[in-house]
Amino acid sequence: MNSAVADNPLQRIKQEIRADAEQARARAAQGELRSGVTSPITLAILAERRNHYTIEELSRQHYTDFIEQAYFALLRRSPDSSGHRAQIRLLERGRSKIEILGNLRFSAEGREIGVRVPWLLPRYLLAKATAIPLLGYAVELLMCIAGLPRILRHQRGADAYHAARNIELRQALGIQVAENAALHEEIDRLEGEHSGLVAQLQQTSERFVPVHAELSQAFNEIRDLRHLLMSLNHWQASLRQNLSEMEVAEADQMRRRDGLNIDVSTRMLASDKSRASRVEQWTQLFADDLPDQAKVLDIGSGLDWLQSLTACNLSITGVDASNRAGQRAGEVGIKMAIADPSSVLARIADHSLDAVSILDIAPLLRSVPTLALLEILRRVLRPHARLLIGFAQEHGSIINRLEGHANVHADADLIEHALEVSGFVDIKRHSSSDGMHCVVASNAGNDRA
Amino acid sequence: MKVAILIPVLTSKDAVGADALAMAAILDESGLDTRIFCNSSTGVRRKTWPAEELNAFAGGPNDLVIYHFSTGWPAAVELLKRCRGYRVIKYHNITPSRFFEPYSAEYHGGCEKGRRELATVANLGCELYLGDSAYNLAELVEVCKTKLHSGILPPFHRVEELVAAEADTSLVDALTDGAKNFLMVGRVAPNKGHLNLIDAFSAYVRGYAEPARLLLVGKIDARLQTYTDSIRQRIDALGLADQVLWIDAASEAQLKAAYISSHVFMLMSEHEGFCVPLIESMALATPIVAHASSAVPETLGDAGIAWDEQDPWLYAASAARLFGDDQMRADLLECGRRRYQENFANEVLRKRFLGYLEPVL
Repeated sequence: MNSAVADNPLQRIKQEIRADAEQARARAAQGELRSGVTSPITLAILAERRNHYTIEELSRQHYTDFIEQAYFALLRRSPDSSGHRAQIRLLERGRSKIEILGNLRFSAEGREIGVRVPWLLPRYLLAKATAIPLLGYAVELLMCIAGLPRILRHQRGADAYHAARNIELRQALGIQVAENAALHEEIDRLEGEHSGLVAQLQQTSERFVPVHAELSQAFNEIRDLRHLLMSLNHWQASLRQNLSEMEVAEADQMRRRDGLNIDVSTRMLASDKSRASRVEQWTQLFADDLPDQAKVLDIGSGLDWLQSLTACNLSITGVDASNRAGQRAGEVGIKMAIADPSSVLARIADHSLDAVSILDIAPLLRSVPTLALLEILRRVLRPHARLLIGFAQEHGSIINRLEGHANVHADADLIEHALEVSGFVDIKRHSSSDGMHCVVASNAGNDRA
Repeated sequence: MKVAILIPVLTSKDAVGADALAMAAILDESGLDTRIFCNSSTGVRRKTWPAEELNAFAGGPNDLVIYHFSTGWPAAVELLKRCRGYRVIKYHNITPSRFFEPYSAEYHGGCEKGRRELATVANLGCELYLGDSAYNLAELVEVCKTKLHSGILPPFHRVEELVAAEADTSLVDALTDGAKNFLMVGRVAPNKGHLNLIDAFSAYVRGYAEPARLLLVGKIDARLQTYTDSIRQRIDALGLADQVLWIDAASEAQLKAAYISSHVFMLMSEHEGFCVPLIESMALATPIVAHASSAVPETLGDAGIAWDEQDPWLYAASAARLFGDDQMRADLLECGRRRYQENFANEVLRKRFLGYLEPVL
């Protein structure tokens, strides 16, 4: 067995624990608690300090109290549950307390502790002897006969005790009966109330039947509405997606059309043999007196015009609604705002430009009335700043024709009068060698009164 | 195929309820139309149906019914008799009535009734009998007249949620004052061996004279007031009132705090069908000393110190050894962690559960 224990570490540890448990038990029994630590005084510890009891002391208690006390006195511990149950069963079978005390005192554990109980051993043996068949009966009979005077004393004492208890019990019973009667009355009253409440509950339930039906109907309607709402929501989401796709397609189409329009108008302008000399003449006319890096805004006049002005050392910004035009300007390093000219003009600060050129005014007049345009131009031009308005056929007019839109008929006489009325001065008309006209004017020094 | 889970009372905190809910969730995940049928339910989000509607839902030949058997319920036997599909009994054990005899006639009667029903259920001829432990299954086999198709499936549990939960830090602070904390988790009922536990704790206090505290975590049952009173009397008689802390109906945070702050989990229970607190201790690394009764040795395995005897000094000395022997404590904790992962983790149990149901799914 020892080799088996040595082979199994857990068994070895358990053996060590077992030994430690015995030492701890002995320490506790001798009161050898470690220094500096206090332990509460307990019933068990008090019991352990006594080594001597009389049978009468140990038998004084009854039933579970008796068992507990016997364990504490004889085994110096509280009863374990199985031991407790076994001793209680003995008591319930009519076995004597002496036998239970003997069982504990003369068990292996009890003998090891060795509490002294004078006369317990002979009486325990006698009690055990009563369990021997036939002989036990005779022994118990003899003991009873011998103990008759003592039993009679006990009987008389018990009579007196029970009589006293009987009187107490009758008194208590009387009180209990009176309390019961009151409780019965209370129960009757509560039952009456309960019946009333049940009836009320019944009525309330009946009243709720139509409400419940209406609620069910309303619930069904809400469910249908919810379904409709969900369908509508789904439909809206689909619609939104379709619109978005259409917008993308339209934008693509417009971008492609814009590119084609610019290509066509570029070919048209390229076929105009007199255009180069006209641009040159009008550039001299427009840029001659302007200082270096003068801020000039051009609206829709074409890339060759912008390049011609840039060569005059002016700070040029073009405006064109065509993406392709803006892209081409960017490729040759000219700034170009791609937007509707009227919205660009609206965002330019007052009196911030030195000159504005518009070689083809007709397309612009489709979206802005003449006088309104001149009013805006007066606002953005510095005093004495220059304005050139041409009546040539540039990209704008060509694209309008391609798109099938009617062009506004821009009349040089009309524009001259409009300029005059709007407060422009030094209004002069120039004709190029190919018969094209342009009007050059200056912003007046002060606003008109 | 429809699946019905039958249980008398469904509560989320109770071990049987947690088992039933986890099974329902697994069957839901498998795409089966699963419902729980019971007399009443508390603290459960899942919808439940009245038990008497079970046959209408899953009484057909292609349906599956799982009955969680843990108490006497004659109505369940009648319902099972009328089911024509695959019937599974999950036996969680019924506490022997003798434990309740001195304390509660109601519990005593209920347990006796349940125990009498054991033979009826075992002989219903159900298609599969599952026990939480071999100990539970042996009880069924013992009363069954024919051979059972059976298996062992420990209960699904909420240990993983407990491990992930936040601990009650104020309780942890209060418990980390240098005293050795002895922990017992379980409802306050006579089979749980509280009286022996108090004796063992008293033996430690007397024999080792170290500062110590006993934590009794578990629901106090008003119907077992006599038993609760006897525990209090024992505590008072041994002068331990200042060293025993009761936590009735602990929250998850308090339970976690108790586990992680305790130096030993001491179980003196005299009857357990499985004992979920043991695997909670394994998962939360609290060393275990236990009385080797009923299914405890089977659940505990080599992850703690177990004694056949009830001598309180053995338990006191075991705790003292654990406190002083770092290597042994570390070995036991590692054994516990491994045992939990290999045998009791919910994922392991899930595979075993679906394996048992494979013929019918």
